[in-house]
Amino acid sequence: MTGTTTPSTPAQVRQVPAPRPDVEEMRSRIGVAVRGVEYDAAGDPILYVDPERNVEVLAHLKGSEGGSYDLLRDITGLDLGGGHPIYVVYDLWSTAEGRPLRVKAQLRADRPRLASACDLWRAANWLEREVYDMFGVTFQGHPDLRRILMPENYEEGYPLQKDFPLRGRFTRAEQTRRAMSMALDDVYSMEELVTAGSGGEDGLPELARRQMAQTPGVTARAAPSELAGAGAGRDDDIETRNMLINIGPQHPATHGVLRLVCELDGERIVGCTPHIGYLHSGFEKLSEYRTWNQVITLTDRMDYLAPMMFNVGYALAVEKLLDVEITPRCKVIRVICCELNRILSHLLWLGTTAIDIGAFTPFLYTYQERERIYNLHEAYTGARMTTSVTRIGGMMADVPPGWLDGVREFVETFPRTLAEVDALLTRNSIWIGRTQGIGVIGAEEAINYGLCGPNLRASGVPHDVRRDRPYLDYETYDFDVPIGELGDTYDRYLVRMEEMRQSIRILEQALERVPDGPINVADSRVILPPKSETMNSIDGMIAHFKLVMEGLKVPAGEVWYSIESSKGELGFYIVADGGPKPVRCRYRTPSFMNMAVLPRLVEGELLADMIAVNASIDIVLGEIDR
Amino acid sequence: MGPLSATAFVLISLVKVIVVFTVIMVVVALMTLAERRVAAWIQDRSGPNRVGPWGILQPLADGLKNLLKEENLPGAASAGLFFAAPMIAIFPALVLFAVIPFASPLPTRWGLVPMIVADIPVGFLYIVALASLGVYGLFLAGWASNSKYALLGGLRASAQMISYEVGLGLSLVPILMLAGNVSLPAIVGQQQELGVWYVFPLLLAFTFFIVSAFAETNRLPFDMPEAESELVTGYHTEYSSMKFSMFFIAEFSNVLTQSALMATFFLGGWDIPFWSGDNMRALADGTIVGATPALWKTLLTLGAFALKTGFFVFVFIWVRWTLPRFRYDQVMALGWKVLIPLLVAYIAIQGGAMLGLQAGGIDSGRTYALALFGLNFVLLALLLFWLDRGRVIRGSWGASRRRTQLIARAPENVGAASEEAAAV
Repeated sequence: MTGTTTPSTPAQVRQVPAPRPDVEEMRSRIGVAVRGVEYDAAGDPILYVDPERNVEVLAHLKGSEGGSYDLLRDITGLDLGGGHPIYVVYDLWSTAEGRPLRVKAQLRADRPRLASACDLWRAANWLEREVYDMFGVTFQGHPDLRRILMPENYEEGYPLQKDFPLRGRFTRAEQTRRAMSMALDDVYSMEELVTAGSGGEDGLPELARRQMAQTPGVTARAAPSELAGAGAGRDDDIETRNMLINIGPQHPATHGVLRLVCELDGERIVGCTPHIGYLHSGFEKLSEYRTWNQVITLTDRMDYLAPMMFNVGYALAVEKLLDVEITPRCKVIRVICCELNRILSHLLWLGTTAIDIGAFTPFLYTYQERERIYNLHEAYTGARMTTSVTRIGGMMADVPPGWLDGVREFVETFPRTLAEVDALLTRNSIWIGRTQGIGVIGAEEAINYGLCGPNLRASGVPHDVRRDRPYLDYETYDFDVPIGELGDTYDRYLVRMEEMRQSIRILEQALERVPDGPINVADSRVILPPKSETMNSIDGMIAHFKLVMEGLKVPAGEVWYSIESSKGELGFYIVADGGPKPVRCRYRTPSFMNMAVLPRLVEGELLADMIAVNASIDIVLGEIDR
Repeated sequence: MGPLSATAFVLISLVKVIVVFTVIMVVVALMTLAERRVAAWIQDRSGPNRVGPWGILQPLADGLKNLLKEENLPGAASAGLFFAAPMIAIFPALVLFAVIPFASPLPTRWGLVPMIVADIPVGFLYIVALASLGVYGLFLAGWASNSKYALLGGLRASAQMISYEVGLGLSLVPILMLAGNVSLPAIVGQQQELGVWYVFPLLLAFTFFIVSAFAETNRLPFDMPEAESELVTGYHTEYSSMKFSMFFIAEFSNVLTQSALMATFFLGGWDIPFWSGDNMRALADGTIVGATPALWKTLLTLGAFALKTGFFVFVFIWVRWTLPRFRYDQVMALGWKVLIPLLVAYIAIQGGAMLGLQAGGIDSGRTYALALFGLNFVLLALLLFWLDRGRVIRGSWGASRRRTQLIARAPENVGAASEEAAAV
């Protein structure tokens, strides 16, 4: 259909903008700690800081006078290999002013060490653990620095260091031998040791006792009454001990291979420790060994519940690096893909949350609707889950004839089902009793924990990348960003329900305006020229040859590009050196950040609440573990 | 027709036991199918429809499968109790049926046969006593498995069932006050005489009973002991094969028994409404009061009883596939802080009303029943109104209020932020 052409975004300028005043001011204020300022492909400032004084700078940035970069979006490492130093990269966001800032600290490659930012942001806890796990950077002052994605007794090294071979340092035979000879009880986590020792050291297995002796800061507890929140009102004559229960990795309510070690006093949760990494696939490492377009197939395997969003986000990030402006038709089609997938993902969350709280029927209602979206996936891409729908500079193909009518039919009929589920749950007394006031987290704390997406908005923080940093012309669509007031499970439920309705609104507008024209950019650097040109003109022939033989080449540089995925802010930190493969692909996945807050949300709640809260933060293990 | 001779009594009782047991087993098997078919219907899908016409042989296939599955005994389990638990669970559900009259008396060559397995004069007490035993099966299963999930399930089961037994028993007290008898056939007879089923004059007792019955059978929204999303499957996590199946038979038998009890206590048992041809009552000496018994009447009343029971079974299934699950502490709070105090108050009010009416000269007949119905209706309306105001569980009123506040528009600073971002 001939819709109106969308107004193009302001030219995506490449030239370095004038230094931002706050950065200059900061340099004057902390002087030597700030070593330099740079601007990335998107024009965002990068601050190089003295690694000895990183926390000082970060504290200044977080504080109000430094510009109030209150949201820690990411901490990651960057190893360029070849004797270059290792960098630790912090990515900050100012919720008040809506702009990003990246902070880089350069470390010595042989003994990378840095002070921990855990005291500033609780969000740093898991992020620093991941950097430690992947790059071997030791964070001094971190409360619980141990491996997070790799097994705790992994001995091959730090996988994301450049000199780490893709298949690991050990041979397959050696890896198998170690895996087979490992005693299942070999590894006790710190929490398990602490709880197990709550009755003194006597009852512990030999290995646990030995491990406890080696782990600093862990001692067997003398009496159970010392346990936090457990001793009150208990008869002292009866010796009680908290129960340690292992939920997962195989459990109906963990939504994948997640393991939650919970310490229970009766049914009340005293402590909960998530163990992740069971689905770790090394996508970040693998991406460094794939060409730019091949990486797309990896992205949809992370969040397999909203695969197209990951495809789109990655393509947008690389296009930013390439400085390619995609066609108006492609933009609208990508918006349709994204919003369809937001509904797809929210529907799964809705169904499984309902199951977790005991209502089975909405699950099947939502799955029927998901089936219709999957059929649309299939009609477009041929695949249902692993769509790989985008290419750098466009889409895998234009949409097939009639596909948009299929989307239109879905948009028209889907709200009926949503209203049905809404009628079953939203005002149901049991549902309300199970969700209101459970797992509450306020705005300030939510930001401190780095929550993102609907979870953050449910706490009342109106941060939505589609609004705060629009991509794909989202600013031209008319939609509301729902926010909650209390940040409890019920608010998270309401926010997501409303987001589905808003997605329908966006879809309606997008369907109205799908412009005609090419879907891919006419740029032979990134997209193969049409066959007729390849066959008939020497230019086309050469472009085809070069693209096939050498692959897409992305100019040296880096970018941190984020989109609002269904689960929250999905960031791609991509570093290129001008070659056909990425140097570093960092996927800052939203569920990873959301998962880390679970222990805080469930402390003191009942076991059943933990299941409800865990469901309400909407995790997908594929992207947590990557 | 006189009373049965001793030999005939024994033989006929034996036949009745076998027939009733067989019928219950078959019905329970069909209930598993019904549950799955009704669930499928509610959930907009087909359900099992491959084994036999309409999937009618599915329970048979399931049973066969369960028999052939591997028996599993966890290493740490306490073997004796682990084996005994399913049997203990299934026993009370089955024997409860013995005191439920399921049809009008049948005239035979040897005398009048009451259509009840054991016409004991203390039927009500028997029910209250035996219903308590069911908890042992679940608790022992949870304890003997020596598994943490099973233990939690067993603990929940025992706490919940013991709590709601009180409610179940108390909600039957108004019936005793109204009927003046604890024998179930007598209660059915009283309802026929009154001309109004007890569901009307005892509407509130019926409401409480149905809630307690759901809790007693551990069905959603009270399926704490199983709660598959929390406790895997609760007390029977470690069970496999036919032992696992027996817990399900026990659950469905319980549902059937509770449905039959509800039909008997509140819907007139085997009484056919608006027809006096079935209003008969066998006295202890074998004589009959009221209409003449006949084989066709027995069959008709049996049909009426089956219909009423079937209706309640359907309600059990319907509710299960509609509502979410309570939380454990909410269940206990509902039982102890709401149900029991309210029941005690209700018994006092109902008793007072009955005394008042009797003092006013109305002590039987439709007027009496309708007056009580009016009282119950008002009380029920008050109760629902109070519940909805959100003391125990926050009601829909609170939800609607919050919802309007939630859908806030986008904040003001967003526009500025996007402009700034664009300017970069």
